[in-house]
Amino acid sequence: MQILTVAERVISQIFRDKRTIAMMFLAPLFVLFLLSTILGSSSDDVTIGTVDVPSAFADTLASKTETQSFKTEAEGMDAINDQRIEALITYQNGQPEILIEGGDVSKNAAALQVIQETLITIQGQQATATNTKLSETVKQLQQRLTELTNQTFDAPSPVVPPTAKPDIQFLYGSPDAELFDQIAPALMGFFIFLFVFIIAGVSFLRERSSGTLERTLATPLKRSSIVFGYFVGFFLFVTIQTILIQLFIVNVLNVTQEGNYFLLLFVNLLTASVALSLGLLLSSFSRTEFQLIQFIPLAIVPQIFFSGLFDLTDAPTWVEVINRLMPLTYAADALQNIMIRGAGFTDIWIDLIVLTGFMTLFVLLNMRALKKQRPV
Amino acid sequence: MIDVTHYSQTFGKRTVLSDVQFSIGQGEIVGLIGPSGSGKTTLIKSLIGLQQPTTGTIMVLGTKQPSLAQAENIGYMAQSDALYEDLTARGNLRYFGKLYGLKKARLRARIETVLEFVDLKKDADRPIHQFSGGMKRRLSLAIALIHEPSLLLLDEPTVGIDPALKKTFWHEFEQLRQSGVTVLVTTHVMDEAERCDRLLLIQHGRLIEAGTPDDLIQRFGSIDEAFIQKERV
Repeated sequence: MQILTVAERVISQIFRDKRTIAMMFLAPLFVLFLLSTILGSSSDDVTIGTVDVPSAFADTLASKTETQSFKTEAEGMDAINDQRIEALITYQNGQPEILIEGGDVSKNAAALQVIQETLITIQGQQATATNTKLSETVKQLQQRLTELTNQTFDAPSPVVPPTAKPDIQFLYGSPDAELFDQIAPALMGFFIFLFVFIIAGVSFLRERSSGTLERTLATPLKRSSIVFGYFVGFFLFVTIQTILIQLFIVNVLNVTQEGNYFLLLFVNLLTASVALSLGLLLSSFSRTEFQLIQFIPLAIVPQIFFSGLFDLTDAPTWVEVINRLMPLTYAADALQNIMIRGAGFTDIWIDLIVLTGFMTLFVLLNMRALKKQRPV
Repeated sequence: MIDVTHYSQTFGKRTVLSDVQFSIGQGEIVGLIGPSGSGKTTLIKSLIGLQQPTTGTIMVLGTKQPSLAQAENIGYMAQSDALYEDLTARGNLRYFGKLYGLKKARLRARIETVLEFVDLKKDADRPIHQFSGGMKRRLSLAIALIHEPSLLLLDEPTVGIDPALKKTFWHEFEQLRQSGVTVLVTTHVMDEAERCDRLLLIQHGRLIEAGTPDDLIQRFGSIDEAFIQKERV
């Protein structure tokens, strides 16, 4: 009953603050939209310069990417220095020499891949040509042998290994999945976490500094009812926010969503609960809103590094330890598995238990912190 | 109503109050006077049960504080207006009324009564951030009265309000006293102290003098004088 009283008050307070509502509901959508557009506008198209290369090579390369041929190496060097081309290929004694511009990691990789593909194609063509020549030679030798010995000699004709392309299939996702598809689930978790943390933390801090928390504690209200009242009150907004972000990511930004919608909602709500309890807790350690905001670079921003955006397989042990201590690690893992791999409850239950553990820990610490405000 | 024996309060190494003893009976208006920072607010907070006494015992309405049970019988007006600025006056009253466990019909009736009492009826549906300082003080008093407490703890209720409103407040305190409510009010303004039945003087962490305003005037010439002389001790 008391919980609902606190919840009702929290809800009507937020409803009267239109800007906070707008920030909670629209800001994450705008940021995600912006990021999706930015990541979608990068291009892996490369231009490769050539100086005096064999025509077979030049033709194959031209069929794969844009090329530009130069008469002299000096002209080519000028072009690569001006970043008009990403790589320059010259032939020295029949061997290709490749110079990569090296300033843009993703373009370098793309240029290298195109060149390697070309070389493989050329080698394949050369091998086929050699094979054809070889079988002709064998045929001629057989004919000669028949003429000389009057015996038919039945030699097996050389087998030409098939150079067919391998059949590539994706267990999850599709070949045209973009970087944004991979990071969108983690980012969704991060933004829900960030916005709930800020709004809950600042609301609770304001209660502390305006004296309303102390005034509330002077009533027969239980300490736990305040914390859970905040939970119930914020849940309404967090649910709306989460559904909005989910719908937006899946339907407007067209991010792959293989899993169960409600499981996704559940994980997001759990993530928000962890953020809410952490926000309430850290507000106990701040005197002003400014001090609370100072926790963001320390407690929130590093979490984005560990939320699955980067591969941490080779990370040193201490990074792995930090990784394991960050709630968002588990949230991002669960969200990515649901959205990309279509994981069900049985696949992500460990993540859910860890998140619940974080939330419980923060709530208990919070009640301890409130004990300073009222001992009973 | 209130019995305090050998009560001391320390925060870390700093002793704010030491060996405080006094008692207050029903229907008294008692003034807690003393300079700023002398420990008046600390004492009030311990009486409500917002902190654990370092030593000694505090009995309020027969219960040892801190306890949750007596909060229903204590009305508290904090030094700063602890109001939800986004909510209306009625919204604030409803929230605190519900926390004190008032049920629907009674809650509605009490809200109207206290709004009338502090003369805020026509502003009841305006959000608090539009209120003047005096209006906020009046609403804080209304909240302290919402659950008809038998003991009122008022921490500098008249700071920052104009003389006319101050007069109204004191008129209201006397009305409440007549209906059997006990009032403990802190102040450092002398004309308020004169209106109390009894005075408790706190200085340098000790409760020095308890007596009627007349007693103090006889001993020191005036209450101001009592204040200043004790200051030199």
